[in-house]
Amino acid sequence: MVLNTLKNLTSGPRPVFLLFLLLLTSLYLMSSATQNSAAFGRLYSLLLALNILALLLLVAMILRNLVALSYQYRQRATGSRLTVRLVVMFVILSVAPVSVVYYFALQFLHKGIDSWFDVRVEHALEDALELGRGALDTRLRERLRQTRGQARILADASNTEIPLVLHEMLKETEAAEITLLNMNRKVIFSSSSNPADIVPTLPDTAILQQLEQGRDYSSLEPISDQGLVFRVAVVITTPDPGGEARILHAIYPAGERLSSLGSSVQDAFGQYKELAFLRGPLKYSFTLTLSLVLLLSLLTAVWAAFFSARRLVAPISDLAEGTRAVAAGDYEKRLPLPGRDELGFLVRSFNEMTRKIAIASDDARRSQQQVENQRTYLETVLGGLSSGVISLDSKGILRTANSAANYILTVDLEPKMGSPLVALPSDHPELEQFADVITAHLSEEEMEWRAEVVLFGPGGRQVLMCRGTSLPGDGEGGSGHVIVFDDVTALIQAQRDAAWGEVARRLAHEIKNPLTPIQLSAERLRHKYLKTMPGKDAEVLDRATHTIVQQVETMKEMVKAFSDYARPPKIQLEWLELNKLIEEVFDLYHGVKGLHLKKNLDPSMPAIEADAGRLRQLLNNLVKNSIEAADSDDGIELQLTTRCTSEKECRYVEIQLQDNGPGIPEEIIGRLFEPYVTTKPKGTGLGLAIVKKIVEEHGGMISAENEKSGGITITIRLPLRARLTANGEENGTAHQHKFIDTVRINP
Amino acid sequence: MAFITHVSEKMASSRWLLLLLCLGLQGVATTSLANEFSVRSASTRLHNGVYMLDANIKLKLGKEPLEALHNGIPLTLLIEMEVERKRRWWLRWWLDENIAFLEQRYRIEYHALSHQYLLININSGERKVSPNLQPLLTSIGTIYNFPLLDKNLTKKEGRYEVALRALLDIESLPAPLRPIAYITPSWRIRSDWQTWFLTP
Repeated sequence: MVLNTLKNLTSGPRPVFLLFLLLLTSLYLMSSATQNSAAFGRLYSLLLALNILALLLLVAMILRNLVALSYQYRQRATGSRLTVRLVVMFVILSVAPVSVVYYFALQFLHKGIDSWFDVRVEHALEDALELGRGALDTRLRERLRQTRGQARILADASNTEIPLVLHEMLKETEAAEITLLNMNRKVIFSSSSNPADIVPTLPDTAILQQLEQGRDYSSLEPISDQGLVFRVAVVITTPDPGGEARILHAIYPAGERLSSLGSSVQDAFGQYKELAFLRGPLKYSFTLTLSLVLLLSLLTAVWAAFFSARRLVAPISDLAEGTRAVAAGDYEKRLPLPGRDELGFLVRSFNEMTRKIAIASDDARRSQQQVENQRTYLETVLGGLSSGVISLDSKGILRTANSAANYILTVDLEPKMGSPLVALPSDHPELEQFADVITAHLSEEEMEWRAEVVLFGPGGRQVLMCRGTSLPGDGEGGSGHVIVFDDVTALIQAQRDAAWGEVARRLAHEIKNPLTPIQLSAERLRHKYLKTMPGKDAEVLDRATHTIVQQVETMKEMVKAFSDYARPPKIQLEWLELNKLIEEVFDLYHGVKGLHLKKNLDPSMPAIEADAGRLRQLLNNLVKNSIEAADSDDGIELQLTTRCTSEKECRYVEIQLQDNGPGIPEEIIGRLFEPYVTTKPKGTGLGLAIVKKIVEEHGGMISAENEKSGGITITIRLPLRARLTANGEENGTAHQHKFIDTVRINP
Repeated sequence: MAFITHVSEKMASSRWLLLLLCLGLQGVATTSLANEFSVRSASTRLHNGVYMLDANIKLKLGKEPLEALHNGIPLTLLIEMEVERKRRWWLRWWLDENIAFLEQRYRIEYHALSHQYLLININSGERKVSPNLQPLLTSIGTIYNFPLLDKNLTKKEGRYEVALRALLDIESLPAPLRPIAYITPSWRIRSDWQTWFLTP
């Protein structure tokens, strides 16, 4: 706390202003002292030393600032350039006028001091001194002559007369003091005009030496309390040769008038001489004081430049820092208020701005979070849907698609996001119909629409039920569309199969009942009337009844086939070797004329769980179908391939039968496995329909496609079920339900 | 004793400040170049319980001070005497006890009207007049029977050192002359301190 107080007192502008004031005061005192002011004269040297020390202190402070600024400048600190410019400007602004003033002040000072002195005045003073000296010398000589006269009187006076004579002399000559003494400075008698003077003034040894040499002594002496005095000492020579030599020593006041005139001349001369002598030092001192004042002003100005530049630049630096912080995304930055001026207003506005930005940013973040949550929610909902959902913006650009859409279209739509829907068929030609239908509906700007799309892809024919809805929005034509589609292929197929099953059941029921009476009636007619009829009629009857019985038989077979299709026996699953079963069936066809069977069986084929009888029927139907469809003149080539393979984590066995027949026309290939779809002149048209039914009963799928070289390839895939081992563990890698989940039953 | 002046701490500090300033201004020329002032002999003797000082100091003024004197500038000469009780050597630097500091101030003036030099003992007010300067300087430098210290002020076991020197007082010069005097060697006349131990 004490340290802080000390720091507050020693930092900032206060100490410098205080220093400046003190310096100014001391300079004023110094300048007074230079002008011989008695009051400050004694303090002059102290003040000078103090001023120089203070200036050194200022220089140190400025140097410190300078070093700090140059460091900041090199570091490219915010505001340092502006500070440098301001400081340079301040310094130039202060140095230029002060220097001019300094130069002229110095000139005036020197000329002013020189103008005090005049040679004529000096001469006049010297003359006055000389004159005074002359006047005093005349008086002195007079006093000497007078004293000598008295000495002669004294020489003749007896010892008893001496006091009287001296007293008389004192009165007569108005001397201040008359003393008679011998050469050993022993006082014989002394008389003074001032009764207080008990001890007489004695001549010093220099005077005595002069007297001993026989020369009288006379001089003018300045004694302050008495003014100027004449001191005269003469030797009294005695008439008797053995007599002791004596000295008459007299002090005469110069007289009040003369004394004051003399003092006046002496004082004036002395002062003028002193002043003239001090001319050089005076100039020097004034120059020194002036230089100190100049330095003080300059250094204070420089320091003030640093201080004010810093003060001025600080809020600007703060603003720059703040702006940088805001640009970097820190909206919590608040700047200290520099004051109530325009800069303060600016800083306050900046703080207000950052506060508002912070609030807006928070709101935006919250909204974004909400949108994100909404989006996640929607994505979860869409992901959970079994229907495919895609959304397009107003320009037909693909925006979202759920996983069901990818699955149904068998295309990964994720990389296509952001590209227009119409561009989809360029990579996936099978989706052309899909894209066309949607685009057509979008261009009609319908709010809601519904359409059925049939696709032909590698997986076969696919029927999609599409529903489109225009999304509400601000843009022209709404802000986009959402299209929901379902794969209804299986549904349609199931409906169709159900319908056919019903037809077959009805047919079997309705037709089978009258067939037996018809056959029986025809046989009765033949039996009863053939023998009775004449030869030609009997032949007609025989042929007619034979035809009826034969056709009814054929119809019965047909009805049985219908019945089989409509009401198949319950499937009985068992573990069996597929390859073995195939070979058993193929053995039946050995020896058929023109038939060449090729087997390409996978030796690693595992056991499958299936109904052996139904599979035999399936294989028979397929082979028969191929034989019937083929042109027997060219020879029939059948190639059967089996293999065990896996796709999408699902293992299955594949049976592929390829023939060299004429193939299937494109227009019916999609409905090949429906009843009564056939290109053959013979047959019930139920063979392949039953094959498909058996495959479906086993949870498998079947597809057919024309070969480019001619002929048709029928591919059957049957799932591999896990076989439980003795200890209950699963032996196998795939579950049937998984397979069913992922394998679509093709038409 | 009217002529004994105990120098206050304040004055001493200002003296140090001035000394510092002088050192700063003068740079290397710190030693007194003028040998005009030198203590030729100095001794003390005990007389009636008072230590008496006898000394002979050579005093001579250089050209610049003489010129200033003839131009009406009074000069002040100081004879400084100091008595210190010496402590043991390891305490000496900061614990030597100052027993007495005495200063005799003399002012010399030149009276142009009478061509006389005037010597005033500022401590006693005694005046002397002489047409020549040297007799006056000699009279200043000749110290005889000067009462320095009462014996009662000293302790038996103490060792007392007396120091003596003479100098020209620059601070008494007119203010404009002082800065020059401080930086001009011919103005900075002072003798070295002559020291000796008090003998009973």
